[in-house]
Amino acid sequence: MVFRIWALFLIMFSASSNAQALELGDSIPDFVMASENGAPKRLSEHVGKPVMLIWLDDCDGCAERLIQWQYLAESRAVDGLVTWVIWQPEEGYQAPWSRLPILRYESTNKESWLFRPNPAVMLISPNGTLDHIFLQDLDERRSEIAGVLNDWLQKKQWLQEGIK
Amino acid sequence: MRLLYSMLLIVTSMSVYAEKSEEISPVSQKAFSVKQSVLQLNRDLYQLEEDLLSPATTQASLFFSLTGNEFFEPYSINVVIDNKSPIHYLYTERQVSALRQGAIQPLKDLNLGPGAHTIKAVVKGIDNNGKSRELVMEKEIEKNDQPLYIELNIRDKKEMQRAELIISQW
Repeated sequence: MVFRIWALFLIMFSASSNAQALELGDSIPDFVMASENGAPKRLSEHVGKPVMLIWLDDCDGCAERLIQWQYLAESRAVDGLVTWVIWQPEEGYQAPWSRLPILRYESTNKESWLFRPNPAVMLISPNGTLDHIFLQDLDERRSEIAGVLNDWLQKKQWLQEGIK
Repeated sequence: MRLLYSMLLIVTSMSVYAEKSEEISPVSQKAFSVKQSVLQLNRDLYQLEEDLLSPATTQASLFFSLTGNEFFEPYSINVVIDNKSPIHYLYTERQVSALRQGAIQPLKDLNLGPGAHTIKAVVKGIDNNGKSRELVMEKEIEKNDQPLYIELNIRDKKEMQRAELIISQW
């Protein structure tokens, strides 16, 4: 019995560690998620464009937290940046309002995945690889992230590496 | 004289080559026929597997399409047949655009026994005013011993200024 519990624990641990196994330079797995404020979005349909994913943590109508991110994203849209916010609803939670697409993660959706730990910000190059990831204290680190985002979009590092 | 010798040599070598090729040809023909039978056997096995897994008596397929579509843009579809596990699909803008251009989406291959089945489909999306709308349709379909093709189609109902969901079978 104890062995079974340990085996179950190990399986659960390995499954959760797989979910966190993304590293810089990895190809981001595709997903499609329903949107709170528009049509569903599929990541693979945006190959060829730089993408910023903002993974929210616990958020019940947290619109004010998104305002500065929205301004940042909109100011870089001219560089072709596509920005999506990913929100995981809990019982009784209200979706945050934003002009950015708010994608809803649902565990029943087999074609989606949830990144943990969150909150997190990912910068995904047009060839679909993870170029930068920021974890923890995102609101405090917004200016740092904005700087990295600026350099990343200006240098267009993916052009030097070649889009695979 | 030299010319005569060289011509004789060429003719002899050609005849030897022809003999050799005639000697090889039954073997290569046999190999070719063996290859053909292996391919045929593979095809038969595949057909047998298909027939066993999805015989015509239980074979059914579900399709989704849009016609016109001035009054509705689908975001998702949820189909339940006989209260079994639902079939769910999300449509991105690009997919909706393809459907509007005439694409027919093969939604799911099913196994349905002969007899009556209840199909319930709910399509969520927005109307031409940008408001959330749901198109719901429930219908009983009859399956005989032939393969069944079910099409879920959204079409405009211009006189009502809205879209409707239709389930057809053939």
